[in-house]
Amino acid sequence: MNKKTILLAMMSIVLITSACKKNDDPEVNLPGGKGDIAILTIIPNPDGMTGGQFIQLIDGLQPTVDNANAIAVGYGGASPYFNGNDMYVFPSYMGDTKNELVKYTRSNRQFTKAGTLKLPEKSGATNIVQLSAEKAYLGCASIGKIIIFNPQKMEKTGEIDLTSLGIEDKNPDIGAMIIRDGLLYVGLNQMVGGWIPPATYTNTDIAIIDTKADKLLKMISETTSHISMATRPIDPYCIFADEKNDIYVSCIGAFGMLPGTEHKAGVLRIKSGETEFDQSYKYTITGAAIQGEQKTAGFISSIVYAGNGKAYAYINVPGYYKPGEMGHSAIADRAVEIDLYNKTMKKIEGLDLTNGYGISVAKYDNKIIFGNASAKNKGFYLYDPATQKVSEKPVIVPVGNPYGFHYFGK
Amino acid sequence: MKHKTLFIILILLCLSPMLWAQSNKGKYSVVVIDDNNEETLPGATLYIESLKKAAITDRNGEAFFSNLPEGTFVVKISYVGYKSINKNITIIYGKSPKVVIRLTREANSLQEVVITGKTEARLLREQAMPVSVISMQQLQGTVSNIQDVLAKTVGVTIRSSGGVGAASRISVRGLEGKRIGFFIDGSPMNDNSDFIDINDIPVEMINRIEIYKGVVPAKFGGSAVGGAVNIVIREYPPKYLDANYTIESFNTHKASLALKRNIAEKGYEFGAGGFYTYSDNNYTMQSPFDDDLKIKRDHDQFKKYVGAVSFKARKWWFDLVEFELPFIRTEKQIQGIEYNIRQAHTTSNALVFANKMEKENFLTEGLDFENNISYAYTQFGLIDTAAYRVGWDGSIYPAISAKGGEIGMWASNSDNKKHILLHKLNLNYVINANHSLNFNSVFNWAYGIPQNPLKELVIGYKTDFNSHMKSWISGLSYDFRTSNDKLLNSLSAKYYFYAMNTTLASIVSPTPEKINMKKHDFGVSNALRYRITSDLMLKTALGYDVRLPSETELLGDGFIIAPAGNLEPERNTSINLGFLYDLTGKHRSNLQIEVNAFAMYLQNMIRFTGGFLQSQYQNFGEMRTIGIEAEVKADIASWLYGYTNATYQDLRDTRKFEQNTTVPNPTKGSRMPNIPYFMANAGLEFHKENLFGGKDQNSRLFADAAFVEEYLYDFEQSNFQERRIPRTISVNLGAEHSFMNGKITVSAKINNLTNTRMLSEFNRPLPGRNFGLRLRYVIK
Repeated sequence: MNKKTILLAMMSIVLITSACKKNDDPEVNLPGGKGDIAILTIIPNPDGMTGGQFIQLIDGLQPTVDNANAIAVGYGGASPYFNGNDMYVFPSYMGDTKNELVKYTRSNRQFTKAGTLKLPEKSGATNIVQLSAEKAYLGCASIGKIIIFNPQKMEKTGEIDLTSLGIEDKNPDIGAMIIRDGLLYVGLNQMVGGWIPPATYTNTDIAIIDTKADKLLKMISETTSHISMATRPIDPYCIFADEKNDIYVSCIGAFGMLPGTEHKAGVLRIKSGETEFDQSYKYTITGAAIQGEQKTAGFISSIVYAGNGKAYAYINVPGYYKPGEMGHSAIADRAVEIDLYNKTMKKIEGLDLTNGYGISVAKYDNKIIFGNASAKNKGFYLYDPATQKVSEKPVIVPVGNPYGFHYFGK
Repeated sequence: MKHKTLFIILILLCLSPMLWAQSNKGKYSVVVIDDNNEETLPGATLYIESLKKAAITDRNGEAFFSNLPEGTFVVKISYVGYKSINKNITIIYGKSPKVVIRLTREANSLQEVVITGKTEARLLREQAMPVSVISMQQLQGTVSNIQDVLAKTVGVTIRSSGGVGAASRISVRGLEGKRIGFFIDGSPMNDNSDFIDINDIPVEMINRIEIYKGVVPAKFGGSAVGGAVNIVIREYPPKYLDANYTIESFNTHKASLALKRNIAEKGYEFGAGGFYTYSDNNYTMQSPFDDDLKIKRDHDQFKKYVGAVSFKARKWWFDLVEFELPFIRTEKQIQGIEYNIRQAHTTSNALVFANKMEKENFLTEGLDFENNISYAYTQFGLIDTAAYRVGWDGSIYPAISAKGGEIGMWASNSDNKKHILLHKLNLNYVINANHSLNFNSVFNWAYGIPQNPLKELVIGYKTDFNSHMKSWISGLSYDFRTSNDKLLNSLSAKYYFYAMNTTLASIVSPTPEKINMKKHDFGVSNALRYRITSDLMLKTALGYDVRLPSETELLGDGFIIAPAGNLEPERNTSINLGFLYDLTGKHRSNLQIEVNAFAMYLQNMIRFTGGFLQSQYQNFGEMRTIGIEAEVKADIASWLYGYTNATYQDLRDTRKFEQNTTVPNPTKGSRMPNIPYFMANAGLEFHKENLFGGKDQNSRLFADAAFVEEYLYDFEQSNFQERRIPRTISVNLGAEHSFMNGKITVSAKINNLTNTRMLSEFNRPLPGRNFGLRLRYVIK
């Protein structure tokens, strides 16, 4: 065989290889799995800026779950919003997914894609509250607007422009929201650049909107406690109402990023029937003691209210950052039980410190699920508030970081 | 003090062999000149077939052979555009004759172009290091920038993010970014990426591109672990004019001019040149984020101005003393893809003063000296002060900060100035025909003066402080070559030193902190080439290389990117085994077949780690690579040249545990994401003289196809993962026609003939089908 033949043969191989049809048919199963629990996992890429985030249904608590049948969703976005059997997935906060809100509906214990709502680019859409089957509000942190949409039709029906409420800029940075008595309470972060509000602006601001007219009624401010930045946008349940219909607002105090200023993280209250802050209730988290924990608290990373004034949360503890360490890989979050009425915190025994990817807290019947990614283990743990015991080992061990959990009920 | 001592020891190590250096038996020097005008001819090739020895004339038109046996031999002398001649030379021990050889121009030069180009490249390929060498004589007219050249090269991929002037990353065997050294004429350029991008250099100004894979020779002073790309700028003849103008799609204009004039009796050469590139880059792209949105890019204008003057003296005590004064200015708009950007842009300026001195037989016989010193003053600014953002549909949105801005987290009006001093010394000592030593030292000092008052207003405190940075990278290599040239072994050791003094602001501390850091490390490599037959050689290389953390990685930006003073250097262990079968110049097919297998193990990978609020560069794990690459090139007929190559590279995550934990790593064994694993290229070139009649004309037609298999953007986890970079096959066509024996050349090309939707990453749309037309005028 001469050399020309060799050359032509090799070139042919290249072209034939190029022309081959790839076999990429997914093997079996529908995307998203099957079951009554939705779990989110997250796996960063080596570049650190991007990664994979996966969501799937599983049937009850399962010892091990891989991501083979999971739906890939935007990396680093807010946790999905769940309402009944519906799940709304936000675009990635980093902007590397399509600019749309995707609705999945769980039927026959499986997800089906039920529609999409096109969103403005770089909207910062992170939070939804649903008023009725036909009306919901979508907070868009990066553009200072709330989009009103019909969840059944996934159609935009209006918007509320809050840009005039911005302090020093044209964006009040919409956070988490809640509806009470026909009024929409909107947490405002008032950031002016980076992730921080003005160094001297230590108010907590909340916009109150009349859901009948979809008009801004007023912005209320708590100006005395130096507790600042109402709600964490990607933590859906950080503004909640208790059995008395009092609203509690977790405020993140510039994440501790403004040293030498008076910004503090904490919890404030708007009592039932009121539309102003309750001046008798100010619970400062920054610097607060945690029973069973040597170091003091920074801010509330995530929280869920469980009833009787008790909330379960992860607290970011600055004292656990190693020198020079920052970022999600820092293992510095402590699981706690918060007694809102008595303004105390207690460490959940049996759960190690976790990194920034493992801070999910969710209700599971009358128990609590903590996602936890410690130096030794990774998974979802089951905590029983009645016995105050946490499972010895994870009740679900996923592949990747335990980023989110939602129980649809039997 | 320790470093000074080490430096002295290295110098002594380098110089001590002189004491026992042997006399150069059988030495023969040749000066090649133009028969017509007596100008010297740098780059002419000399080849003694019976001894399998070759040499290339240097900048003075001089070449020499050493350690030749006594006797009479035939040496063939070739040069582009000149008639090759054979000359008998007689070697008598103890005598070192120097002869002048005159070449005459010939009208019909194409074949010589091809042969000469390949012969030159062949000499480099026959080094022990794994290297691909691309002679630009073959490629001019068929490519519009270096990216086009590299994309055809086996084992290399280019990750461009857009059109003309867009940032691009070179990936060699899967390693990319700062891990790959970028050199121009052997000087490291990695820290100057804001000022000169690899694609900026006009192809007509390039002599050749050398791509070192895995093991980087010690003579390159930079710290690179994955390989290096060295662009060798053309050495123009003493009297020369080369003018080029290119017009391409998307309102792209490129013009370059090189002038050279000499005073032969004084040995002076005066040069001036420069280039200008302008592009609107206004191609239409399908939004990766909205299926219904097609965007005509309208904020991607790119302008680059480069001008330089030079003076060379060839008859002073040094063989060459050169002074150069280049100036570079770049203006670049920033095109939005995820969202619209209307105003943000960057400007950069660089003024460089460079001096080079060369002398052969410096102080003693056999010692070649090359000394480079340069000073650069650079300025870079990002201007992002828009009062509001504008959506694709014209909607108005708030700026990203209280002081405006469209990108990132704050407004910016930065003015970062830097003074850079670079000293490079290379001493090459040929002890005898069997042994040689090379010492290389690169010292870099930089003083940065950053300013960004708008950022400080937004954040509320100062984040950017003046910084001093020093680095010294030195290498010593020892080459052993057997007398029959069957075996060549090259052993290198490198020492790295890096120091920085600066001030860091931190979000957790109101008081800025003084930083004084020093780091040092060692690397070693060995490469061996064994000639199994005169046409077939075996090449092996084993390397343990180090990449020092960059300034950005160490210092962050004081706010969103936290400093990481405890970063360790990256370390890469690599092994290469290859075979080269080469008939260039020996058979009319000029067949070359090269197959390489390689493996690498990268530790202490430095990667960006996203965070709640702050991110940071961290040493993050390790990965391994196993791969194979093959390439075949040949003249299929006297009028048809073809090449094909393919690369398979399997990069896998090898971390046992997740960072800072004892938790098993869920992606251990998974393919590293966002890195292609199978690529192939093929091309044909038809060439014929006087195709359309007439005389002194030459025509070339060419077609290239590139294939990249689909790969995932993230670690593979789900059967339903959508973030994939699709399989692409792109085809480029071109034609070139030269008149008047190459004095005038017209070339045209079509890129992406099939208008394939090309994406870099998984969401950076690249241009569709586009066209270019180039006119070149040369006076020699």
